[in-house]
Amino acid sequence: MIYAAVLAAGLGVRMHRQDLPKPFLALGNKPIIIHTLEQFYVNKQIGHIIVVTADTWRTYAEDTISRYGTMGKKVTVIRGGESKTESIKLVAEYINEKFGVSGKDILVTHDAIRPFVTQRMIDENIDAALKFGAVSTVMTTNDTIVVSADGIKMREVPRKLQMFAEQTPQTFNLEKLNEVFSGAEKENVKFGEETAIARLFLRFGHEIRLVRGEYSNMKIINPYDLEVANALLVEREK
Amino acid sequence: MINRIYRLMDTKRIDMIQREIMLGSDMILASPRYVSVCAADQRYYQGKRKREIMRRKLPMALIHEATAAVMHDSSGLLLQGTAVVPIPLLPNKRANVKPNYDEQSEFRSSGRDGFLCDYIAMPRDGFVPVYDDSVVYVFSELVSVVLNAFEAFEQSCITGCDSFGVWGDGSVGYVVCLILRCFYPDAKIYIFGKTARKLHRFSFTDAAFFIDSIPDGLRIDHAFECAGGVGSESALRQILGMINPQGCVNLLGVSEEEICVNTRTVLDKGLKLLGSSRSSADDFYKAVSLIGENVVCRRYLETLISEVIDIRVESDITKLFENDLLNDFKTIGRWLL
Repeated sequence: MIYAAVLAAGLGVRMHRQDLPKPFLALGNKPIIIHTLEQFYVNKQIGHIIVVTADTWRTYAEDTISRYGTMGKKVTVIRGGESKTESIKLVAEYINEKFGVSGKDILVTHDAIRPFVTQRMIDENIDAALKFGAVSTVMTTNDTIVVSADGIKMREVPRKLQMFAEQTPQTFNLEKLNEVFSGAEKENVKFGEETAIARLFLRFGHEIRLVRGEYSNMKIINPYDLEVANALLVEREK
Repeated sequence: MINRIYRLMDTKRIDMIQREIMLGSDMILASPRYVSVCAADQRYYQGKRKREIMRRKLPMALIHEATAAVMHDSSGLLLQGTAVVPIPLLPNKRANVKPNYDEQSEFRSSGRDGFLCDYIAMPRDGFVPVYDDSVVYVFSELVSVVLNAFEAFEQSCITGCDSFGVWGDGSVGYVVCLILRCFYPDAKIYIFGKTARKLHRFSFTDAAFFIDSIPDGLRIDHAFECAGGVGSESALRQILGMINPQGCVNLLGVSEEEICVNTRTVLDKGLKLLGSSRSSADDFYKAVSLIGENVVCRRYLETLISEVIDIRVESDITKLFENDLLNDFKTIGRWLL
């Protein structure tokens, strides 16, 4: 089975003085998360979608998802964790408990606030995860990345050709994912502090393949991003 | 639902834009599988339409020949993955006017965005299910246009159909000759063109002639003009000279400029000039049946593909149009975006 986890648990800084978490703010005519979910609804390979939200917003999320319809896809909303990694761990535990896991089971994880994900990205994630076990979506960076430990003094300037910005989807073979989480538990990794799941995979010696993202696969983090995203959808006069 | 549309912004410049689709309950969402470049798309891409038309119609997504796979049908009638052909005509339904000729109808890639997009969202009757997921159904639109012309011809023809002349050795001429061979197996079918290697491909015709060396005394009952462009005028001149009285001259070639027609000959011979353009849903259903059921016809259509280009990134769309300029027949894009 191929599962998708749409991650919407982060509360972050409020935008536009609204109390709603970012995934539920309007983009065009619908909440951001609905646009994101629709890309997963129409993907033929995905069998079950698990939406992860902060516990307080679970029922609101269920209401919103049901109001817009799920195009026949099975969607479950569960409680998320403090970090993205912890949320993914909770999704993995939910799947283990409810359905069990077999060798070819795959979990496609995606930020709810990246509504411009495409079918190509999702399909390439699934194909690569089936072959290699772990996949991340990346883009080359336009900016030069510099390393600084304190934000005051530059320590290193890595070669730009080797630098990529990580987006989502990130996709994992579920058996490998379980393996990584149990290994991390043995080593007392605090998932609430660990935000990069890819780092855990590398730590336990797993290879992660890369899939090309898109500059348009933007993350809507702040009011400027939402303004840009809304402007992108508007038809201008000829 | 967020869609990505690849619009021609200016001559040879295609940009991706994102727009929201509002899916109605009677609508189907499909994803392109194969797209095919038509001469009409190429005229826009190269900026060969008049400046005023370019200004009025762009930005606009090109391509009206495509196959697609159903992503979602809220009625559940068509399963996810079902292979379909999208119909580019958005018909205005009016009695006594065929929708493809109704001035209120719209056509995709001519005034409305064509099929260069991630999702094609249209009412259910805008899609025709096909027999299998073969690339060959990408020619359904082209075949449907020819079938539409044949319907008009058969309604108007009052003389014998022993011989046909087809002017234009491109893709439209090829399909016209092929359908003529299917419909009139015993008739003489002659192709008239300019390029030897293209004329060699018309193996199912009775003879192929260069337009500058047509045998004296050769006559035809009916003609199809598929040259288009500036060649339309000289093609028509030759047709009027060779056609038998009361024949039909079927016009399928598109000319951007006005052309001269010797109306004296038209009158003297009592000819019918029949204009045919585009096609309606009925023609699409007939085209799909023909491709699905006539093995020989299908095989010949498959050889019409000059090149298949994988479209994985936006720049591959430009490559599709640029390579098409070098190809003798059809350039197909396999949609992997």
